[in-house]
Amino acid sequence: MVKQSALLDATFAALSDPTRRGILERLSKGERNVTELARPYRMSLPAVSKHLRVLERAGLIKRSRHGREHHIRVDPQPIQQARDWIALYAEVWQQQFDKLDAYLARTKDAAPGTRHAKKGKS
Amino acid sequence: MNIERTDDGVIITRVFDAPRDRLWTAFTDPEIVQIWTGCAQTSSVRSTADVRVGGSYRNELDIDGVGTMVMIGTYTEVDPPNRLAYTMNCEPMAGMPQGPDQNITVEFTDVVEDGREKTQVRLVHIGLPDEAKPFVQAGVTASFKRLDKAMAGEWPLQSPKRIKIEA
Repeated sequence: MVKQSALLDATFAALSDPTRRGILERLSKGERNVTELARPYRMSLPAVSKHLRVLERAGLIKRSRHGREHHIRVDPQPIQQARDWIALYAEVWQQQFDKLDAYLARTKDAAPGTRHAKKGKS
Repeated sequence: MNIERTDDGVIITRVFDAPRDRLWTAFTDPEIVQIWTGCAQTSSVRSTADVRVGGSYRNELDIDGVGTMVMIGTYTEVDPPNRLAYTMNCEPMAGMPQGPDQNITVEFTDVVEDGREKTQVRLVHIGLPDEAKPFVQAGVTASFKRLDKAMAGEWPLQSPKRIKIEA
C-alpha cells in the first residue's frame, strides 16, 4: 500500500513533464499501444516505456495485455475526484450565497438607525 | 460571483447588498446561519455556535434524499467585522472514517456601489483532497466544461499554474 504522500509526489512528478501530459492527452481519446504513443515524439520505445512507468506509478494509466501488445488507457478516477470536490464546493457556496442574498434582501427594511438584521425566518 | 481555484481549494468572492455588520451577523448568529446554510436540497438546519477563538459550532442539516448531516468545527480567528476563520468537518459517525478538517476563512470588506453600502465577502475554502491537488495544478480541472470534454476525449493539459475563472 503506497503511502499517501508518496503517491502525491508521484502524481506531481508525472504531470510536471510535457511529454507525459501529451501522452495523457492522446490517451484521453482512447486506448493506445506503446508504439502508437511513441510515434508523435519519434522517441524510442524504451524512452516511452520509461514515461509510462512514471504515469503508472502515479495511478494515472492502466495497462492491459492483448497478446503480445500492451494496451494503455487513462484512469479517470483521480481527475474525477478533483473535479467532484471543486464542483461540489463551488456549487454549495453558490447555493448558500444565493440563500443569503435572498435573506438579506427580504430583511433589509429594518427601522432607520437599526443596524441589526431582523431575526427569525421570513 | 467569482470562483478562483487554488492548489488546495477554492476562493469565492461575492458582493452582497448589505452593510458589513449584517454580513458578520449572518455568519455568526446561529438563528441566521440556519436560514442560509446548506445546499439547495437542505430543508431545515439547526445551529449552535460559540463564536470565539477556540469556540465550536454545530450545524444539523436535513437534506432531501440524504437524511440528516451534522457539520462541526472550531473558530480559529474572530475579528468582527473584518475576518472570521473556522474549521469544518462532519461530526464523527460510527462506521464512517472522518476525513481531515477543512478550513474556511472569510474576509468582509466595505464596498460602496450605486451610493449603497455593500459588502464584499471573500471566502477561502481549503480542503481539496491531497490526491486531487496535482490535477488542479496541471490545469486539468481548469474548467468544468474542459474537464467534461476531457472525459469525452478532448483534453488540453497545461503546465501547473493557478486558474482564475469568472462565473
